[in-house]
Amino acid sequence: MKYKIILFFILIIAAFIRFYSLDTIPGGVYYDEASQGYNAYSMLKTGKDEYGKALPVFLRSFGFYASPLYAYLSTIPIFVLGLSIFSTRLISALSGVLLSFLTYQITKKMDVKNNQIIALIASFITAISPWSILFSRGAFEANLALTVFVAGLYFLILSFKNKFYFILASAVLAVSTYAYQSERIVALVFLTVFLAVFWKHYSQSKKIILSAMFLFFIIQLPQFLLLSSKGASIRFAQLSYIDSFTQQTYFLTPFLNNIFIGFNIVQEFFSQYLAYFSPRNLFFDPDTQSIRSIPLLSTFYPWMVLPFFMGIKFLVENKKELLIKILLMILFIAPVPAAAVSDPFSTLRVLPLLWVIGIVISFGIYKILMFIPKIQFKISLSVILVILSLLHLYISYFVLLKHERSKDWGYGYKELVQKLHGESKQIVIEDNNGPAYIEYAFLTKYNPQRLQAQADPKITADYYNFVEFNKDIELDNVEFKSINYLEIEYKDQIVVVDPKAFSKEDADSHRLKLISEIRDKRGEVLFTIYQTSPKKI
Amino acid sequence: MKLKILLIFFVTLLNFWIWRIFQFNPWVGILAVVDSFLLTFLFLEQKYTKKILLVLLFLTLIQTWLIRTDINFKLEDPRPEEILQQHERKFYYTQDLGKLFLNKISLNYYQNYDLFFYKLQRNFFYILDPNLYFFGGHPRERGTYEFEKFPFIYLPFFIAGFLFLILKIKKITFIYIFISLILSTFINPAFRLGPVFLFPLVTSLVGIGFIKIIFRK
Repeated sequence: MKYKIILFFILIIAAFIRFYSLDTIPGGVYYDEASQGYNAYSMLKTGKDEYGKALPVFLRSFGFYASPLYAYLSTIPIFVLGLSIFSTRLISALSGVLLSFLTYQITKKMDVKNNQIIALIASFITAISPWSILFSRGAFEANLALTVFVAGLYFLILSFKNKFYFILASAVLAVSTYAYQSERIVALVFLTVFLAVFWKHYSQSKKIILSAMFLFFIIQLPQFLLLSSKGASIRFAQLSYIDSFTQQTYFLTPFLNNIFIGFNIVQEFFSQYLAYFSPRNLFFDPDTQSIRSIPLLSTFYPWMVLPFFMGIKFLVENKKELLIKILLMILFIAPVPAAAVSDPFSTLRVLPLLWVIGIVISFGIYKILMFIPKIQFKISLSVILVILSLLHLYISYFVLLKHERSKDWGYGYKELVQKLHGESKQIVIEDNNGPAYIEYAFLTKYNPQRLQAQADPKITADYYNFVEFNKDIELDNVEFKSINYLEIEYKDQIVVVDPKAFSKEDADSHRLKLISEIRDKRGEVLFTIYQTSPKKI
Repeated sequence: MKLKILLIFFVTLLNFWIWRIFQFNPWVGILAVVDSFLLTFLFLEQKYTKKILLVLLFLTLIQTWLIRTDINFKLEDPRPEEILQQHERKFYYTQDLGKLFLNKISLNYYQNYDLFFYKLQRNFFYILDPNLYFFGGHPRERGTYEFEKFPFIYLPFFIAGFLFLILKIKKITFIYIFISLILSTFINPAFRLGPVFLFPLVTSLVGIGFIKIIFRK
């Protein structure tokens, strides 16, 4: 009973950290979040996405193809709460809390001494890990995918006692592949390796295994059928480093050249793969993309490096334990898709790995606590580390990220929409920094049917293969496009420009009248709103 | 035993790093080779451990003296952009943290030690990056500050050696590892030899990995 009470408090902490000011921190709404939220809204209202496609298998998002499960599930909170930043992020935040719960349920199945205590530590580490908090507080489909994947894992573990759970596990793992691209590879490879390793255990229940495989295949079928489409592979093709090697000539003999290219590709793959286990990346350097990282904080807290090494010791010592075998499988498989692309240490693509590393750290913490002789010292050390970690998190996430990353998270669009609300004149918004139309559609809850009516017919005709993206679009009296400054002053209109591309001196020379400026939390001007004066010419 | 010694000898000399060290200063190179042998012995054998540790520490002291100009216990001076960022952040902290930040202890720490500890952590975690040793550098820094240290085919042996170390680490060897990690943290990150104090550790782990895999013990 006492363990359940502690777990309850851990889940309260997990929920508090994930839901506190969820709609305002991160400030604004990121393009991908706006796309997920608006498409969910569109599907809820019309049964189709923003391009008019019913039940998409891959969700077209600015010329890329995202996994659709997040948008499908988001229709529920959007139905209940309406379209907002909070309702769009809700599924991800709930996934983060559920992940802490599942982590406890899974680790307590370990057949080792004090498994309940280890499970509680693992659940708590998941609850307070920076990576989990960052991705739970944004509409990241990868975060949902991880929770679905871990749920599948939980059923797999249950299937050791009751084989019928294997069918459920296969179904859930198959569903996870609709939640994020990496899971398409990770879930498939993991299930195959799992069966190969534990075949002896399942070989007596061939009917169940066949049913489970059949179910897995049926759920996967829509994706399999689209495997050759551009939508299924465009992301990998854009990010892969293979072309950068194959385009080089190292030797005049093709045979030697091919060998050298192959060697270089293998070397780069292992270098990228190894980067996912590097303490430098896990405990110090944040992800290179501002949207996937927190200032001054990496995926885990720096002090966790010591428990990480101790945890590896625990893994090796208990390598025959069922759960450890499963964790090791994930540990080796999870970085494979990410290591095949040139983006070094992309945290979003390896969430299953980060989840396992969190558990490894928990093992290490348990080992360290066992070294400490007196209970008072154990409690004191734990309390100090928790306070320091939460303080570090507060400073990095709730203070620095709020100020320093507000622009990256789309801060300013909400204020811009409010400023332009009710304006009857033609408005032109410069969208050099990203697809601004989706921000506008999201924040104004633009009628999805009217947006669908604007979709390029080529997209409607060949949804999964037509990958070109044109972000210039007109929503009623608001145009989104790159502005031609030579023509700007000849029409009576309001123009919203990027101050970095168009200075106040430029505005004066074009006789534009400043209406307003929108600044980010640092005071940097994000948008400048001008009124043209064509009558003076 | 002879075969094992030969193996360690090959690992110590068949890498790019040691020749770079020799080129820079032969004495540092000789000390690195001797340290590698002694450390492997310390990891694998039970005899004379205290004496070996003392010799290792003495040789490390000489090595420190030989490259003293590239060790900076104050770490490098803050760059103008770092100072600017520190000022900006001070404003955010004042705004959001209130008295938690605006007190003597926090302000003193922030003004005088925050950047130092940040750089200390950065240097520490950079030297723990296995990419630095087996792939010339981190994938993020392709083309800058890179130099080949060990061929990447040594990596599986290093991992085997590392697992051995983690399972069988003796308290006495931990002292040497700790000291070499700390000294490497204070080496100038742009130093042309890299974290040279860690050469013996990496070499002996690769060597032990070879022994464990080839001799299966």
